Amino acid sequence: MTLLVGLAAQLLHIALMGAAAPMLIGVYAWMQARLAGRVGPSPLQPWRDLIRLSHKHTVLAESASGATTIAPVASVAATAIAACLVPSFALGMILSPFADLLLIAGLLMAARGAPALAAMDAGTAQGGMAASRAMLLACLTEPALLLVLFVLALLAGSLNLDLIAAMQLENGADWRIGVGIALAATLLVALVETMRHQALRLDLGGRDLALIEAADALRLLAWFNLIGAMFVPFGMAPAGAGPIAWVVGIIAWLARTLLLAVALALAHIMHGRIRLPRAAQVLGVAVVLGLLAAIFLLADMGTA
Amino acid sequence: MTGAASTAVLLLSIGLLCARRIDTATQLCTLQALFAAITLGEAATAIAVLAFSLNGLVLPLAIARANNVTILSLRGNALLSWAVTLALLVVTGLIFAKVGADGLVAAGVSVALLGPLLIVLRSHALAPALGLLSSQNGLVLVAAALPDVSLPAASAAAVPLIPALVLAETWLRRCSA
Repeated sequence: MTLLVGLAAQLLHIALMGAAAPMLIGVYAWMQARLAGRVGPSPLQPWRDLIRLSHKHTVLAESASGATTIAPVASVAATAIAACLVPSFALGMILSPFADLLLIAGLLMAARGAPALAAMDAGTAQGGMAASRAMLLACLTEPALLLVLFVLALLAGSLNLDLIAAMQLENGADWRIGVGIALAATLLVALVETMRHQALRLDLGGRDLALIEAADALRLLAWFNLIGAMFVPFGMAPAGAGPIAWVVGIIAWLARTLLLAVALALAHIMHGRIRLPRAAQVLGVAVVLGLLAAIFLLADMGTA
Repeated sequence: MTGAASTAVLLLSIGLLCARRIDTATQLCTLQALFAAITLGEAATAIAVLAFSLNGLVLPLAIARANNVTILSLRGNALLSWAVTLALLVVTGLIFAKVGADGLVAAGVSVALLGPLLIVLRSHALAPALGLLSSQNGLVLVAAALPDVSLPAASAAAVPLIPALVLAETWLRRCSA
């Protein structure tokens, strides 16, 4: 019975992710426009763009190899698997034993690396520069994220996201200081990680571009879900709970996602486009905060 | 709730070191006082209200009135100052981890130590008042963390006597100039 409930929750989660990811990009673009005093595009626009692009044929550069063809599929596949593993509205989904934070972080990084490979493949100057920038940021993101994961693993005794979310649900609003600082570090990492690198997709078109756009949308949603599950899993249905708890979980998930979208839109409106040196600084602060989170957690655990 | 509020106080004290305008710094101090009062509120509500009124409203308003130069200019090497900040936080955390004290106490002491760092890093006439006000919020956090803290001790932590005196001295010096 528990297996069936877990399977049903997993299928509903996958359906929600598929439907909501492009919508989230649309809502985010609409919010950004409204906050800047413009009318903004319809929240359904990303869906229309995806459908339009998927009907077009792919045009590849003469110098492009098979890597350009494989990269968009690899990127969307890695992001989709990561999005499936991160719980959104319910714990105890059928794939929850595989929801290891290191695996999820690795999948998100692989999804980031694939478009960079495609951008370098054609051999254009702009693509190569964009790929080197994206990879530099990925290198700086990694230590900050690993420090945050270390903090959570120290606290929960496991890197399984389901166990961490269950522990946070149990603790409620009674946060340790280290966890709060880790949240600040994660928000900074997410701010840089959710940036869209337009130059990476200059050599792509048609279905390949649609796949990269879909991967971007899924990554944004996966990051929001990851922050929610790691730090604020309030309202999430516990493992084995029924449909009523799921409805509450979906409402809480929607509220959390919208709140994070507003916060991200506000951050981007207030600071404008984050350029490479600024992004490197932000990630540097995230690394320092991750280190402080670990130290303060150790200080806190001295009394535990 | 206490943990989240004390984290906010610590992060705001780090943010205070980055503030480039005195009005932004004052607003950060007000927010810091609010979160410190929330932390203290569970143990002593009346003293928390007093602490927020004095540290979060009266003194920031007085600082805003006394201000005539808006930019908080940096003194010395920025990289070195960040290294000092990080070292201070790491050493405080490690000492408290070794002693086995509460994380809330570690955060309070860190905030109290970061306050005077603002005085060293910024060359503004009101930087001492702001730095000491931030330290006062750290003391409120420490008072909230200590079990069975006496009423006079909590009241002493809540009343920003030294920042007020420093502010008065700055104001008098400006009047006499």
